Amino acid sequence: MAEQELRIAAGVDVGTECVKAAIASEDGQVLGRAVMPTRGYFQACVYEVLAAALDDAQRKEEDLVGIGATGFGMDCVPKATHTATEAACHALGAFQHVRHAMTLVNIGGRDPHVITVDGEGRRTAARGARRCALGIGSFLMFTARHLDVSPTRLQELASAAHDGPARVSSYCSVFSASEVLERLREGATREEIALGCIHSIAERIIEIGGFADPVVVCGGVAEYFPGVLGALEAQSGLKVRAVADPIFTAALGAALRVFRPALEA
Amino acid sequence: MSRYAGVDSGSWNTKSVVIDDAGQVLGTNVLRSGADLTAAAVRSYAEALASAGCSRTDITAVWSTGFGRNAVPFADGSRTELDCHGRGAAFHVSGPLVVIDIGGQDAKVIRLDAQGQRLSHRMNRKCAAGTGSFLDEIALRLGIETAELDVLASQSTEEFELSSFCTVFAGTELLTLIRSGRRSEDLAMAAYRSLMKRVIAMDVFDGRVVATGGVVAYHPTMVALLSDALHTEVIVPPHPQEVGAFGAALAARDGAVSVGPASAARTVRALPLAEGSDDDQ
Amino acid sequence: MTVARAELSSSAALRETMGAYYRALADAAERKTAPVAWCTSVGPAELLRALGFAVHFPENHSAMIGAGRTASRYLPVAHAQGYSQDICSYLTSDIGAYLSGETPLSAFGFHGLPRADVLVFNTNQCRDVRDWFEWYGREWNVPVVGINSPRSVGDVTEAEIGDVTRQLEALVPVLEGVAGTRLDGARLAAAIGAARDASELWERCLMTAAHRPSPFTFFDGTIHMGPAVVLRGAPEAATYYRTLRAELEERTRTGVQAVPGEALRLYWDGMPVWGRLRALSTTFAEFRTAVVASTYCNSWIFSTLDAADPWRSMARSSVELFIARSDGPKERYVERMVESYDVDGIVFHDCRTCPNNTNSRYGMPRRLGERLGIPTLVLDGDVNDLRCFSDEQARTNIEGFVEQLSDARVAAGRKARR
Repeated sequence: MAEQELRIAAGVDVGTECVKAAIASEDGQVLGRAVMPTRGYFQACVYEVLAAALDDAQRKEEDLVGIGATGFGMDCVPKATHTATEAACHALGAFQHVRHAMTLVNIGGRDPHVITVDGEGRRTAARGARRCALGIGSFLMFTARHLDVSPTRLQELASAAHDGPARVSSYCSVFSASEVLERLREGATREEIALGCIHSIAERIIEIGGFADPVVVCGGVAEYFPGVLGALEAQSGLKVRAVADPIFTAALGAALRVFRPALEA
Repeated sequence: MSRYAGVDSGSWNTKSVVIDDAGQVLGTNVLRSGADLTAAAVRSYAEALASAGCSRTDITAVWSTGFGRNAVPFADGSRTELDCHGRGAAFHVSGPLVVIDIGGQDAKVIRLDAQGQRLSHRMNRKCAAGTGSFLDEIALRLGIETAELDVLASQSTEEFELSSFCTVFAGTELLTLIRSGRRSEDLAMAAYRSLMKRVIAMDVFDGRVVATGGVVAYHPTMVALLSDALHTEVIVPPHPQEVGAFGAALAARDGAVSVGPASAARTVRALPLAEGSDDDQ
Repeated sequence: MTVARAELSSSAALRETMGAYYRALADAAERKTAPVAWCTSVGPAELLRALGFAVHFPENHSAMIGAGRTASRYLPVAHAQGYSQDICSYLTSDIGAYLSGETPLSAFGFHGLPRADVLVFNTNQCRDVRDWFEWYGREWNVPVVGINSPRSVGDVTEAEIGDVTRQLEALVPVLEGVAGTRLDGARLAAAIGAARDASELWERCLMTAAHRPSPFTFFDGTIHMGPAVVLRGAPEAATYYRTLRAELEERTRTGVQAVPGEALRLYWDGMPVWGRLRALSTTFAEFRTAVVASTYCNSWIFSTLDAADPWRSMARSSVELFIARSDGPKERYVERMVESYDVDGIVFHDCRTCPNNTNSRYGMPRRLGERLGIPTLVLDGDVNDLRCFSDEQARTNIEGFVEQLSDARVAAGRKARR
């Protein structure tokens, strides 16, 4: 049977906001995926999310030829057979979808990166954001608290803005959230503010630099806040698109590392 | 008996206090400010009146303070939170004193002379370090409610330092420590110690020290750490979270000079024009 | 509260003077009517004028960007080029604007920035001006020359003046080469004389603010200082300040107040927050507080320029500049200002990206406050990067400071009556 011919592996991306797992076959097909927030001890999150992804793929752990780990907590994946940096896994995962050289923008919960990917799926350069501009997850969480919505609903709110974005900008991600109240007091609507937050994230990404056509976005923010893409397009003047399932890009890349471990060597 | 009220419209919470002419607290209220500061102020004031068992008409004057002090349409005057925290603290503790106020998004240190006159103030810069949101971030990372942090820290056995002041960076650092298997109890304690250090670096503490605001109200560990570090007993006045509102009520009682912008709903008394005059305009 | 602020009628003459300057610069740059030099705001402008250059002052350009609140668009563009968020936001907003192909000068008929034939810096302000000019030097492949000034100067010494004098003289052959003309001693003396005249008149204008109530504020000053900066060494500057001085002196005679109902007077140290000039001016006015004097506006007073001793007097005025001094002379200067202008308190602007024009970071507010017995306030902000400025924090800080000052006055009055 075909199922027996194709080897499968798991990739786990232990991020600061979410733990993501993907089950992928050797030819790059994603068979199962799962995501959960990072809370408390990492190992517990990893067990849970890996089990959920296997369940989604309707496979068992014994079916895996290996487990690739990446992300902030990659050392906390107990049965990892391979580990690799986030930049490398994002590059590989995005390349699986895109199949050409690109500027890959990873916008995750904490640490956005602009990664230059060559025609083989290798990361050739990566630049991170400035200290205070990190913590996009915290920024969105505090903002959502001020607006009395769940963070995942900010995009919905932003899409309903009639006017342009309200200006929300400060070096400190957390402090930026308190500017939300100033804007509210000045009469900006919650929708305009939500849109402003999305623009503010795009602005911080742009100032990392290193943008060149074609620009591809991956990471959790692209998954939950697709409005960032439009804001990046407007601010960079370049066409910007997202990979499929952007939150799972690094997890997919980590799974593919099991089959192609020596790519960067 | 005359009654006065103060409303402290903060970025996270709105606080209201009703006092009598001796400064005795008759009623209080704290609620979430949310996105509509005016609505929160109206509600909080009504709740405080209810808790004091009186009605609007019993109140001689109500003053506002805090982030949203100009969004309180029924206020008769306003003073900054710098003034009201100082005023509220000085009511309980005689000067010279230094008031530390740690709120959700801001931290301030206010120095007062022996007469309770303000000498100086410092506020956090445009950065969330050293504010209550730091504890929220830490609690989130530990997967607990902020209110549970204090009990957790009380069971700490091992002392170590978080090297980041930055709220966002401390969050990452904390995750690194969780990853390396540190106990949550010790991490919670380290978070308090980090916040304390940031606060005591804001100014010189050369008098009696009073701490106010939501953080000291709910986190006695913070008070203990501040006392240790400053080598003096840090005094927490009654109703620490409502000290700003209490100070605003005292300002209403004392008829302090409101320097805020005029609004139709408010009686603003002008600045004294000449040396020694406290006349109205 | 709407505060009825009396507009200065000289503003029309100001616009005309500045407009003529920009149009002449545009002509030079776009129709090649004269060679173009870029000069730092306290660089050797007199020398450049004497050689017939049309002079562009990039700091003035950046201030326009800041005041127009477009800096937030341009800053990320420069950051992306590897110019940090922590360095001078004049530099980053100017380079960002250039890379975006935009300039506020387009209102004066420019098609982009006036392209430099030579860029001339003086590091008496900071190192950033040199880094800034060198960026354009590489971009256009034109010479970048200048003066590396002594910094943190205590009492000005002969050695320092001699050093800068020699550096000034060494610029001449290079500048002559670019200008295609020889330096004429009489023209240099005339330029220095014109700069000295304008400087004296500008100082007289600023000093009218010592009058109670003040006819003029720091915020007015930041606008009306334009000719002192961009027309230094040209006769038009003095012409304008004669007009302004007459109006201000008339105001002191007739009692026109810059801030109606002036109750408190403050001194401002540090850079303006260009994008919040009007907002801050309105906030202080609402609190009936006049910011009557500033280190910033005073920095374009060059009292030691002397046409009879051109090189050494230019060197001296460069070395003795406030920003180039150590804290000792700076404090003595501010003390004199506090006395002359009879102020109730000092506001220090802690300008995030301008450490050299920020004086609150080495304990000065505390030392001055104790010595002078007046309160000080430190406002966090930035000259052009509004991400470093919080309207809310600034307002609360200012309102709190005003409360403190007025409470102290009421208390002092009560004590006096007792």
